[in-house]
Amino acid sequence: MKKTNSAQYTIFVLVLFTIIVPFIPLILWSLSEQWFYPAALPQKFGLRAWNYIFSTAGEQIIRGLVASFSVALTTSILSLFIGYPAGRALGLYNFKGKKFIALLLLLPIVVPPLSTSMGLHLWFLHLNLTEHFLGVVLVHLTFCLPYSIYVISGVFSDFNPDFEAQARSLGATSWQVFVRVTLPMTLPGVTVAALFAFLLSWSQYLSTLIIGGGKILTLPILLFSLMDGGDRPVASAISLIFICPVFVVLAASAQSLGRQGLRGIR
Amino acid sequence: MGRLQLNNLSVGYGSKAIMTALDLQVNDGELLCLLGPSGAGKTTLLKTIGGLIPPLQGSIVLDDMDVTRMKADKRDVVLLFQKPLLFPFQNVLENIGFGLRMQKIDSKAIAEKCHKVMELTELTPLANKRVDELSGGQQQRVALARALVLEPSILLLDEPLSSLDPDLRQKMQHLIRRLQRQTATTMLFVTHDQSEAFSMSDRIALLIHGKIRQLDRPEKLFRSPANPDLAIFLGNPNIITGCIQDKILTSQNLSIAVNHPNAAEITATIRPEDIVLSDIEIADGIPGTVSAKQFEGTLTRFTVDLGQTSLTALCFSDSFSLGQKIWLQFPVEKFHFFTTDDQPPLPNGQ
Amino acid sequence: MFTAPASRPPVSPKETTLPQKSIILLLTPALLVVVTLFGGGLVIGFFQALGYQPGIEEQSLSLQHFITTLTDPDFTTSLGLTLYIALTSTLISAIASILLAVAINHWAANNKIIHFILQIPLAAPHLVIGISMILLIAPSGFIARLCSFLFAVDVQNTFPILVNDKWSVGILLVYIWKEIPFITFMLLTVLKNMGNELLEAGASLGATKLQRFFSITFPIIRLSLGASCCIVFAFTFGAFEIPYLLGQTYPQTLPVWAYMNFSDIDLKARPEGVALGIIIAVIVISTVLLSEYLTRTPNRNR
Repeated sequence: MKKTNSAQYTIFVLVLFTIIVPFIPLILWSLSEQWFYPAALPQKFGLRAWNYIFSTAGEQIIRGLVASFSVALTTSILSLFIGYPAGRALGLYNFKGKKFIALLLLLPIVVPPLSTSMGLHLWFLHLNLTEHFLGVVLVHLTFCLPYSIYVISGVFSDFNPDFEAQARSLGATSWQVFVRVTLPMTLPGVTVAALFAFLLSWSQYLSTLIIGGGKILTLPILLFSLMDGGDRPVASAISLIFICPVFVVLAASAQSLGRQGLRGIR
Repeated sequence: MGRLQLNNLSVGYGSKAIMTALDLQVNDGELLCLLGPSGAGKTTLLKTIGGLIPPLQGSIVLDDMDVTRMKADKRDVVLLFQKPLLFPFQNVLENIGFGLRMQKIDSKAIAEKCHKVMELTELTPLANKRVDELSGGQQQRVALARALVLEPSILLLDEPLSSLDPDLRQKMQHLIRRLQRQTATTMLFVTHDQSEAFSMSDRIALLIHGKIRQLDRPEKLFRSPANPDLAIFLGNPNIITGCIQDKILTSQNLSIAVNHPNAAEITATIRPEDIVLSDIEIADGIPGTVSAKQFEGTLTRFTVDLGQTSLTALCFSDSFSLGQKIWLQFPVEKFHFFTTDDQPPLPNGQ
Repeated sequence: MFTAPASRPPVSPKETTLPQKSIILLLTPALLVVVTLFGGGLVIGFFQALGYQPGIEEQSLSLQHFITTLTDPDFTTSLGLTLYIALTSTLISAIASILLAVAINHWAANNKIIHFILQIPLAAPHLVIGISMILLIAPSGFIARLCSFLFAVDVQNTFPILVNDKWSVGILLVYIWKEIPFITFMLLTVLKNMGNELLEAGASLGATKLQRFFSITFPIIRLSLGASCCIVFAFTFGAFEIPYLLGQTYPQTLPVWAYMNFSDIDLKARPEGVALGIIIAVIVISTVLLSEYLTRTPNRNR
């Protein structure tokens, strides 16, 4: 028992340390006002970067936040509604050509957004969807939807359809079965699918840049230009804001599922 | 071939003991059954003997060698689990050869031994099958072959047949018994199924509430349980307490002829199937009324009201009806008398 | 590889069938979106790479852009660099993940905190980690500062170049940090399903600890390991942000090069960029199909 405890402790410390390390410079830089090389810590701590973000550049940042949030929210809701039936089909049933359809529906998860975005750009140009909110949502949907289907099909492969048959035999209508049985039983997994589809869209840079053409200024686009500008404290502060939803999503999904629903999440 | 001895063994997880102060000896070449209700810690005991769980106390001796602290993979003991636990990525032949490959024996010798054991277990035609193509019984047979091929000093079997259908289970019981005799492998077999224990074993250890209550040959255990609780456990509810005077057992309003010296207080039992029922009055017959009747197929179970007590009888005939007056006859030689001294009573009034 | 969700023991009876019509109804919306956006994107990209330009009457389609790209001496260099980054990060992540997954499964299977913090890298955006990596390991980064402070000497000139460097150390570090948890979780799912019993059976049959790992654990996790490595490879091969941020100016990885051509002021370079994008997609899809084919082979002795 003792050996197990100390081994567990070692693993814990090792994992925790490795995961925390990248956040240390971000936090330090965002709180520094003066940090000349080679001092180990900032010579002067302060909230200049945060003040800048919330006042001077506040409007721009808020617009970035709103843009990122609305794109990610729309994308994840669309992914959920379109992906739920498909996830059910793939997770629950056997049918002819299932392997092929599964491959087709899930291939966009691994094919880089770069490849599709460049082709879509030409098409969207023609449809006047470039530099447009809807265009960015659609390009994000290209890989967020397959991703949702993947997670939801996993949820359904753990779902026992006998519960539906039981409910029906007890006199529930199809709609009642869905609302009272299927939906509540799959809801935790589906919530996680939506949350992670949100994150996937939230983190997108290149596809937003190609289709949005610098007009849809989501947070990552702002962040890249800030890094080019070289203002480390501000870039660090925005990085921290940018990563916030990750913790919200993880906490929420831990709440709804414990630690199961995290297969294949990118 | 091997002899196993457990001395004052306590088993359990962490600080929680499931069985304490267990003493048991399994003789060379015998099949000993540990018979006990589910949840009595039989699996934990076997895992401890197999070296998968460290014992809390006591020692395990195998062929005069103390193996208490020896790791599972070094012990010359193989455990056959309740589930077949075949390796899904190997076919039948590869599964059977697993243990031999671990010993780094040359492949020719492995193949030879595998084929021999497959012949014994009638698995030869299945050699190249994937294990998920096999039925439950075939899988368990492969697991058995995989264990036997190692020729362990002792083979531990943890209810390996409990998930099989009844007729298949009977076939497997015969197979295991036959292989046990052919290979003279010492086996410690754990089960909660009485008929399985009675039909397979050389000896049975009755394990109730973490203690071995009786260790005997099957017939002896069945006919002469050590105390009334064990009789009840073995399906005999007919416990009669009274005194004996001049070969007459008197208990409440009952007087039954027995063949036993005088005793002031004695407990006797007679198995339900040994009681003879008759619907006409017979000499020495004791009258009673049928108060319950349960048809069980071959036999019918009757509960007979004898005034202040009632007894259970099992008959081939189902012709008596509820409320009918009948006569009971007790063959003198079928009575078993408990000696009142040694056995401690079971807790919870079992 | 995409059958991964079924790597858990299927709870639902898999013989469940539904009329063909209902299945089609369930799948149609998703298929429509994916075929239109994903298929459309690739097909239009392909035609663009063949020289198609909208609004021009007489189109002359040719493989010229593909040939120009593939015969460019930089292509080999760039492909080499991309493969190096993808393969190295996949390999290192895989080895570390096996060790971590086995260790967690053995000692900390029920430690919820470890499971939780291990999800952070999984969900953290690459961009943020790329930025923090620069702040961390650049010659004037946090680690260099810490060294200077600890050893009381200026290490700026002696500190190894780890960002925008020849060996792409920074890129590899970001990928490894991100991908280890991903592979680890994939492996943990399988290890948890496997349970301890199979290992106990192995031990009882005389397999030592090491033998149990190589002849029981490894064969069990092999498929899942292959599938997750394939996903990691595909991702690291086609990703743009990290090599763009932490890579050298020359040579560039294929995706960076592709985007550079695509966004070149000289619009003539654009079809070549798109052609590169298509080539990247072809390589990734082939990898996936190949691994799909390879994972099928264990069933051959049916």
